[in-house]
Amino acid sequence: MNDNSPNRSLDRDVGRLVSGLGLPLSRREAMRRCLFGTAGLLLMDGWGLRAAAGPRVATARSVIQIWMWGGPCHIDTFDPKPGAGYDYCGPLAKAIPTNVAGIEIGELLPLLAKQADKYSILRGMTHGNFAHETAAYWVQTGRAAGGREVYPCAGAVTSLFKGYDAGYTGLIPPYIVLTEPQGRFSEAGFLGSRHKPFATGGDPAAARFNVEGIVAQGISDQRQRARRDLLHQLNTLGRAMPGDATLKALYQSEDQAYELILGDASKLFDLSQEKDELRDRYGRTTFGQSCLMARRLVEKGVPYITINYKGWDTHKQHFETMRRKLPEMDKGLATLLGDLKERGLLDSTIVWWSGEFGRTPRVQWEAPWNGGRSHWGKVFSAVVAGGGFEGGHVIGASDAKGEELKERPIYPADLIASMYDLLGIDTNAKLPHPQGLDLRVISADGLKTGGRLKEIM
Amino acid sequence: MASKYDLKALYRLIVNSRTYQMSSRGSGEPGAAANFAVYPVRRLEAEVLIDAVDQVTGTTEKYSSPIPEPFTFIPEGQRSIALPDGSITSSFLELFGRPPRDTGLEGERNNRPTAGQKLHLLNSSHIQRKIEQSRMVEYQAKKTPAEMATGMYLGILSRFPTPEETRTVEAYYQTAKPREAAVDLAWALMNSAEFLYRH
Repeated sequence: MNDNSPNRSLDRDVGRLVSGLGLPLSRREAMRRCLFGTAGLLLMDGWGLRAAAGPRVATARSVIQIWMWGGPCHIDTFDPKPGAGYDYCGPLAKAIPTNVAGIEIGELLPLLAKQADKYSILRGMTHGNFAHETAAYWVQTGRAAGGREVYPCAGAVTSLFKGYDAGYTGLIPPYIVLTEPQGRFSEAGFLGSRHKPFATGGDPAAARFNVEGIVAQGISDQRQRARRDLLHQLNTLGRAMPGDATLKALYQSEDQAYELILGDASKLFDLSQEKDELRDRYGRTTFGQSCLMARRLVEKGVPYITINYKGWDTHKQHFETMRRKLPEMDKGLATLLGDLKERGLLDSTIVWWSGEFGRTPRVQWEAPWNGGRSHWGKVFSAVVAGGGFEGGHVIGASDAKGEELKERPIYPADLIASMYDLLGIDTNAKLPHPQGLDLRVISADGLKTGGRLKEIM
Repeated sequence: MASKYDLKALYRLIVNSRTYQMSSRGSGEPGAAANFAVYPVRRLEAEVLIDAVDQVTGTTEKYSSPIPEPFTFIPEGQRSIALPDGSITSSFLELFGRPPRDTGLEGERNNRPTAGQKLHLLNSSHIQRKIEQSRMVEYQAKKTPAEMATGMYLGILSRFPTPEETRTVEAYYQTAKPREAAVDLAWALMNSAEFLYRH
């Protein structure tokens, strides 16, 4: 803030006013000071008002984003249409009741049906975009693709406002993706590579979870230590230039790296420390163990974790894939919700389940799809739980065949802005931009909106 | 101009100058760097660093651009410093602060060392694979420890090892299998400040 800013000049006036209190004021002097003060307040541009309205108290500390890359079918998961007939439901015609009266979900999700009081289903999700890249961008940044700016996604924004610039001191990076980045998607946008997620690589369901950079394949801890000693002994340049500030920065980063490689972090990624019984409940799949890993990261205070769950782009063999993958998802997600609840973490952790869109409600029986579903962005479903979101509700609805939005549109920006509210991120805050443009976290600049998720906040 | 635009003559003039040959070992006095009294050490830029790693290990990087379709593929032998397009990038280049070329400002490039960069160099499968595939490592692993030290130092740091360094390598050789020792030595030299910084 420069010295001429209204705040400062106001402070100075108040100071003068206070210091002048003991002396008799001339009428003109008093008038002048009052005007100054008022002008100062006006110049503050509603600042006082905004502070009074204020961002709500943050209830969420972390987000676990389950990214259903490819677009999961809404009808076969959280928005079943048993009355729509075979052309819409195929062989998955049944909906099953949940532990919340009046809410039914797809028949392949029996475990999640027992947890329905913990999450809310957003059946009114809509953006109308049918292409993977642009829809993935829309759902995760809240904005339609095609403008001249590439906006950061929710994870990068959370990394900005809850990460190292905001007092996060953990060694584990504040924004993590299990296990691979999405590809053809710039998570950080114009925020730059500092806010890209740390992708673990490896497979948490393998005997050893080889986390890229932290747990190396085929190198024991003993050899790691021996190598480090060798590196230090051969540090000829460093010894020739003791006290060099540039090199000191290098050694600092090296020490931090080794704390991750040989310190607590490598233990954090060692899932064998969990009970076998719990690991089984999550499912010994990459997705199941990723959910378990996400819970461990939340316990460490990592603000944003994305589980990049691939394989939902089911143009062909749709129903075979659903039968194979939905039980796996059911197990992992249901256990995650239960486990978070048991540990008292669900109140401070948002779980967000969504893909970039849903899938064509009317099954494509014709060749070459032979029973597949295509992309569907007109209406689809997302699920949110925890962190201040109430469970046991359904918001919005699609029509009887799951093709059109019937009531309460929820645009991606509505969902993301609601998450930011719960995280205590001011949606009107400025995003740092390389050219210094005035861009806000979520601005009202023509974004389509159906309003925040007030129903469950 | 007198040398008929001969670039080699220009290089000769520059590298023979006292300023260019200044040692990076300064007296440590404040302001020394600003007054050109020393050569300030600088980390290799992202593209230069990956090119150096590739040259030392005899490996290559694959670059492609998925946007717009059809995809653009860069020939494997091409150096990263010669990438024509700011949007053709890799996680390595981004991690090590290559500018996205959004602006023309020098400040866009970020050469600050981070823990993430060190993790990548010390322990990533990317660098590990390069060292494992290196023909130099394979070749040097068959030699005596002293010969290996000389070969590796020449290959990676372009200088002979000091007697003390040779002794350190010989001692390490006693504790590990020859191939592992060679891999670890190449790894240590590539992670040394001498390799990562211009000095």
